[in-house]
Amino acid sequence: MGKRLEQAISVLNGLIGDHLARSGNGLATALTLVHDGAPIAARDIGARVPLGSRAVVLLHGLMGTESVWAMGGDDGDYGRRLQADLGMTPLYVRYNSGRPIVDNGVALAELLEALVDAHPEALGEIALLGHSMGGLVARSACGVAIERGHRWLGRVQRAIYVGTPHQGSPLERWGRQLTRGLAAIPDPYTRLIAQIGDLRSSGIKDLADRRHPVPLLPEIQHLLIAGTIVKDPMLATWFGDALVPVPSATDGHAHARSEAMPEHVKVLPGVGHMKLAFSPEVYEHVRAWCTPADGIAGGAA
Amino acid sequence: MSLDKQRWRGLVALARDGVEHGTRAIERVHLATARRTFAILEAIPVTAPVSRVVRVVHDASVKASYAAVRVGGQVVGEVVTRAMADDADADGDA
Repeated sequence: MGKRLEQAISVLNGLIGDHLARSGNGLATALTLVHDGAPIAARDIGARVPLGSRAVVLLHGLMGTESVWAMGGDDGDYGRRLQADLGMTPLYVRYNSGRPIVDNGVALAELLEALVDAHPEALGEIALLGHSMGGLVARSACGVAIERGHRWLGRVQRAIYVGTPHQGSPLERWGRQLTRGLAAIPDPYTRLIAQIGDLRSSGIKDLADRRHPVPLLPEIQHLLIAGTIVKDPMLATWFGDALVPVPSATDGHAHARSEAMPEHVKVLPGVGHMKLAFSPEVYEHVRAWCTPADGIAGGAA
Repeated sequence: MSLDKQRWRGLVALARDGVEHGTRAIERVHLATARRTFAILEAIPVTAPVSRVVRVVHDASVKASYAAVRVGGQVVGEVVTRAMADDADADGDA
């Protein structure tokens, strides 16, 4: 019941979360770390969650919660598996995905800075792992960290983007054109439909942007993972994982029919958008990317 | 886990917002649709004088009706919010 309630509220946040946040509505979700389904303060990490020298921050996507990582069962949760395999502490973030992505980036940057403040010695490395919109939030947070001189960014060596629309989503761009077209028709009914369509959140509208304002920082090793739902290369390129086309998920680095992929770009046939968050195949790439070059994994302090 | 009081208050506020904005949107459609019909009637010399009067009465009654729904929504929302606040106070006193 609790998990379903949180999921329902997260869908509501994704749809109209900017309105909820602006109006101070109690249904608005604040960006926070979550442990066992409940918010946990950064200073309490360590006492309640054993903190290793390496941590992975997991960010869900639009209308999601941290439970998206466990949709394939707890054993498939990337955070838990990284903890078991590499000793990385999973830190799950929950946020209001209807707020502008840049606002969530600010909140995430402040949260990570508070985390480093609370554990300046223990936390040696932070890896960022974002599914869908979560990857864009991570990029925004990196930009904020540069502007504000945050210390946490210096501890980020790896960032992994799973099904992240770096170059936006055509669905949102089509939706934007459709609502504009309907609004332009001089008919009260079509205008009403346009107004209803335009109620969608700032977070959703941000997905129309073809370029993220923060570049992929060169000091971080970025892994870009895309999925495709069809095997035909041409169709796979444009339909991608059903929501995000391959060129967008790989930030323009690859098409599904590309034969030679850069090492940091993976395109996985047969993996849809949601499954990217809990696919064993994706996890193998995540684990390989997070394995230190010297092969020595960090353990819990 | 059930909805906590903060979220219940949020749900009530959201319902109030829905009534407020929803009635305004439907009111606009209602008036715009009626305006088309009245525009035709007002273009005909025989029906024009009466039509103008009917239009004024119609528009006023439509606006009053939707305003009444909005006020009703606000009152219900306020009553529920206060009841929840009283309940919270009682919990705090206990």
